[in-house]
This record gives sequence, C-alpha cells and structure tokens, in this order.
Amino acid sequence: MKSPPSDEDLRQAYSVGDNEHHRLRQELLTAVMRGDHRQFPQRFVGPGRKWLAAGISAIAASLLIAAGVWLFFASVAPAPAYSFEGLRDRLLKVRSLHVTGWTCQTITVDGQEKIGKFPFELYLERPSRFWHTWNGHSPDEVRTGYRVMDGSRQLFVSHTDKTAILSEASPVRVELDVEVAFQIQWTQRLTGGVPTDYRLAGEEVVNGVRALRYECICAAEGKRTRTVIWVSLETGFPVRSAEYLGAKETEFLSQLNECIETNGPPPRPDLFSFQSPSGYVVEHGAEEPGTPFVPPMAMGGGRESAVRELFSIDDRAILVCWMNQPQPDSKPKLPDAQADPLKIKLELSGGSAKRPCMQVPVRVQHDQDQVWHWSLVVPHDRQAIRLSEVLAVRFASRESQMSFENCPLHFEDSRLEKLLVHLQQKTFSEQPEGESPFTLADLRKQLAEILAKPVGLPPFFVPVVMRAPSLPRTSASNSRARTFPTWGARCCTSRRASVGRRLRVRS
Amino acid sequence: MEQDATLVAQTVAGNSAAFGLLYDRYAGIIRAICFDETREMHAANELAQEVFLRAFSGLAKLRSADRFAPWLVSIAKYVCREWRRGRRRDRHQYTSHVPETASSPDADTDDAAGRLRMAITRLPEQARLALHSFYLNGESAEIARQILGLSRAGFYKALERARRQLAEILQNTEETVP
Repeated sequence: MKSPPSDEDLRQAYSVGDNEHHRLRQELLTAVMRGDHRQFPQRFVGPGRKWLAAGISAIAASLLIAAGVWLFFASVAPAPAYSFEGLRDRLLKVRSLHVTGWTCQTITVDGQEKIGKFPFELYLERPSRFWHTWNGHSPDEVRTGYRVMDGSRQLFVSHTDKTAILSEASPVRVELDVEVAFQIQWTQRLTGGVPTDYRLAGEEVVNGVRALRYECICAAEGKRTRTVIWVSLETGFPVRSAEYLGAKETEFLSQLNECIETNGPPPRPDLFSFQSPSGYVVEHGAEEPGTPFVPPMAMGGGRESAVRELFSIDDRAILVCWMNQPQPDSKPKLPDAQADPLKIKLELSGGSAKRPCMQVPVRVQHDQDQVWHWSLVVPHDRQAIRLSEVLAVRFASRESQMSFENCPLHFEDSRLEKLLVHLQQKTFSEQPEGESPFTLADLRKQLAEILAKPVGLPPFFVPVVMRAPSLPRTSASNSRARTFPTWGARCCTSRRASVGRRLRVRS
Repeated sequence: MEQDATLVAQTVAGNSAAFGLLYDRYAGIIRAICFDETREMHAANELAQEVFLRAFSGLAKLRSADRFAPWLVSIAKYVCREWRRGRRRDRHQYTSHVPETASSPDADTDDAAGRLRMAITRLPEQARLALHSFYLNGESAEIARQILGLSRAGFYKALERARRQLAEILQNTEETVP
C-alpha cells in the first residue's frame, strides 16, 4: 500500500489558491464597508443547535409524503424565479433609468366616471438629473405637463395652462429626490412584491431583447394583483413590467412600464435644455434655501409631526430626523401637558418578521418654531437592516396617533459625510452656538457603543425624552402644498383624522 | 495572537480591521471547504467570500464568540449546500455575472500538489475537515479539534485515519491511470 502523503506534500497541496488571498481580503473588506452583507438572510443553523437541526430533519422526513403530493401538483405550475433574486440590488447600482409606459386611472368626464389611459415618461440620472411627465385631475379636466431638474435649475411646464415656471433648484434637494426615485419609488415599482413570490413563466423577446418572464399574483384586502416582469437574460435588468388588477376572469391592465432602459443616455438631446415649449408663458419662481427640505406634515389631535429622509448607517442603524409637537394654534385639551406625554414606537417590517427598534438621541435642531430631533434607530436584535425592510415611526399621545413609513437611503461614505453636514447647516433656520454638526464618524462611534451593549427586551411604546425645550412660537401657516413622494404619512386622532402637507412662509 | 472572541467583539463594535484578521485566520479553511464542493478555484473563492459576508452579517447573533471557528465552518457547509441546490434548480446565468477568467480544473490539477488537492476532495467530510483544519491553521490541533468537535486524542485519530484514506485514494488513482 502506498504510504500516506508527507506533511510537506499536504502543505503544498493546500497552498493552491493562496496567491489570491490579499486581493480577496481587500475585496471582502470593501464589500463589508459598502454593506454587501445586508443581502443575506440569517437562515443557517449554528453548530450549537445540532439538536434543533436534528428535530427539523425529523419533521422534514415526516412531511415527505405531503411534499410528494405537493411536488405532483407543483410540477404543472411555473418554476420558481430564483434568478429574480438580487434584482433590487442590481437596480440600486444603475447610473440612469428611462421608463415609458402608461397608467389607468378613474376620471370623471361630464359627471360620468370612466377609466382613462395616461402615458408617462421618466428619465433619472445620478447624481442630480431628473425629467418626468405629470398629470393631475380636476373635475372634467385632466391636466398634464412635465418637470425637469438638474443640479441648479428646475422647470415646471403645464401643457394645460401653457405656462412654464423656471426656478433655481437646490442641488442637494434634487440629489435626494433622484435617490428617493431610484432607491425607493422605482426600485419598488419595478420589483413590487417579494422576490421569492415570483414564478418563472417563460422566455420571450421583449423590446428586441431576450428576456425571462416572471409573474407574481398577490391578493391583499380582497384585491387581486398580477405583476409580470420581463428580465433581460443578458443584463439581468427588467426591460418591461405590467400590473393587472381584478379577478382572474375580469382582470385588466392597470399599468404598463412598456420600455425600461438602464444605464443609457437621455432619450432626447434637448431633455435638459430647460427651454419651454414655444408659445408658453414663462415665469421665474424662487424658493428659499431651506424650504424644499421641509417634508409633508401630518396634523391631528392638536399636534403636528413630520419625518425627513432616512439614511442608512452601515446597515446597522437608520438616522432619522423627526419632529412632533403641539400645533401652534391649538389649545391643550388636558389641563396638564405632562399628563399627555409623547411616546414613540419604531419597527422594521418587510423582512421575515417585524423587528422592534430603539432610538438614541443624537442632536436637536430648531427651525423657526419647530424642534427637530436627530436620532439613531437601531433594531433591538442588533441585526443588520436588510434592503427590503421599511421603518415605521409611530408617535402616540392621548389625543393623537401618527405614523410614517419609509426606507432609508444608502450613500457612499464620502457623500453621506457631506450630506449630513449640509443638511444640518443649511436646512435649519438656526444653528446652536458652539455646537458643530455631528459627522459620520460621530454616528459610528455612537453606534459602536450601542452595539456593544447586551441585547435587551424591546419595550412597546417608549416615552420620548426631549433633549431641548420648544422655542416660543412665532408664526406658522399652511400656505401651499408641495408634493413629496417620499413618505407615506398616516395620522388618526380620537375626534378627526387629517393628513396635511405644509410649507411655512418665511417673513 | 488575539483570541477569536476578542476579534469578534471588536468587529461587532465596528472595527472592520478585526474582521480582516479573522479572515486571515480562517479564509484558507473556508476556501478549502468550498473547493471540495465546487472543485474549481474561482467558484470556491466566490463562495468563500459569501461565507464571510454572511458571517459578518450574523456576527452580532453569535452566542459564544469563542466558538467562531465552528460557527464559520457551519456557515460554509450551509453555503455549499445552497450552491449545490442552486446549480440543480436554476441554470440561468447572466452574461455579466460569468467570471471573465474562470480557472480550469485541469490547470489546477496539472502538478502533483493539484492532484493531491483533488484527491482530498474525494475523502469523507470528517476526514477532509480534519486535514483542512489542521494544515490550514498552522497545524494547530487545538483549533482543528474545536472545529470538528472532538477531543485532542480523538482529533489525532481522525487525522491519522484521513491520511490513510488519502493514501488509498492516491493508490487507486495511480492504478487506474494508464
């Protein structure tokens, strides 16, 4: 019999592949810093849970017969869409997105309700170019136009009124709008539903591209929706998507993203020329520097509340800037304001289960009569925050409950660092004397301290400890509405419910 | 040398350099486990990267930080299983995801070291792990026995058995090659 290999032979055998160690190490650490680890669900079983694994195996064995029956029926159904997974990640990395299509909406014409078909077009380009059509409805009238923005200008064109309003635009505001559209609105719109719910339904040529067709059917609150997405075999990006509503026999196409192009140039060379169509009346508008950063406001129960854009901090925490305070013109219903303390509940949803979170105060800033709180929100289980997870912020007092839901925005470290400082310095009316803005490094330090503490049991609603008293109120009024697509705000009170969007007029 | 538990705590606290040290310590064995599955170095490297990303993602959940090595190996086994299942059920691949320079199995097995490495992949799992964990961790029996969950004596028996089985495989290979 041949003698076993020597230690030296084995060492040499194991040295195969070592030459790439340094490069792979660099790549891994870069990926970790970039946050690539967030895509992985925690599904594996650790070695300390062998008994659990054995138990699961036993249950699995007992379910074998049932699985056999299921497989029999599943064999006639479309195959699962495994390659659909990761689509969201791929979409987050594109440079530009161009979509044309149409939506169906119910409109009233001559007092009669009917379904209208409205074409739309959108072009997004990082970091700050945004062109999109819009349409609005008023009784017996459909208003249409387009809006175009770049890092310095904004042109709002109304085809109905034959007017064009040209104004300056905040580069940071436009950048945030572009990222919200990229990372949240259109990524969700093109990949609606859970990836694993999609089924591979075939292969077709769409827009001249070979694509896999995926379908997902979901029914929520009695409404059936069928979403179809065609994903390019070559690039892995969607090239078309469609949404059907209604029961199987009577379903109708409610929205078609007919042509989706990624990483291409603007569809027309004059898209960002900021020239209004000929014959249109051109007006010049102006907006105060901080105004575009004031988010939609929810009001009810004598309180007002808002939450600005969220920022992901290393996928371990979410930076939230929120306000919730009594409305300036409301009278307290309770004799003692302390008897109605504000409580806050934070929860992540959209993952395998809902995860309660804690908030750690970072900084307080005043903007005229409003007090804004910067907080770090960290899941109680200290686990990484996944791309699909949505943060719900719920404020509760005796007179009102308000909730906001949104996903955090992700930025490269260098950009996030600058954005944080800009937002603190340029979008609030007052800067505390002797207090410098917090930085990304400050947040990381604070986050490291939080993560080092042992995991505790999550409380339900946590009383909010205000770090600074409210300033005396001066003026506040609802003057005009501005559409911010970022937040879904819900507000209900014990007497009446109202959702408001508010901008302050600065005198 | 810092203990695994210390490096794990530092990583959880946000020190990615500590994770780099853990990578230096265990990348070899994880790559070896992945190579056993894929028999192809490029794919093994990709899987190993995924194992470490998953480990980083779940590090805060690790109950006993001093059991990092066995925990990491269990992730590697899981990822390999997933890879195997994935290959069976989904044959779609995007051209942009195909590696530009995939290493050829023949190139890997051209020399004696390559042939020996391929022979190791044919060993039973316990034997492979015994060899990987011993020869890729500075021939430290302590870490190796932890990974295998054996006593020190038990580990040396497993190692000896693995070497004998490897000799048999090599002999059979030579007999079948004309």
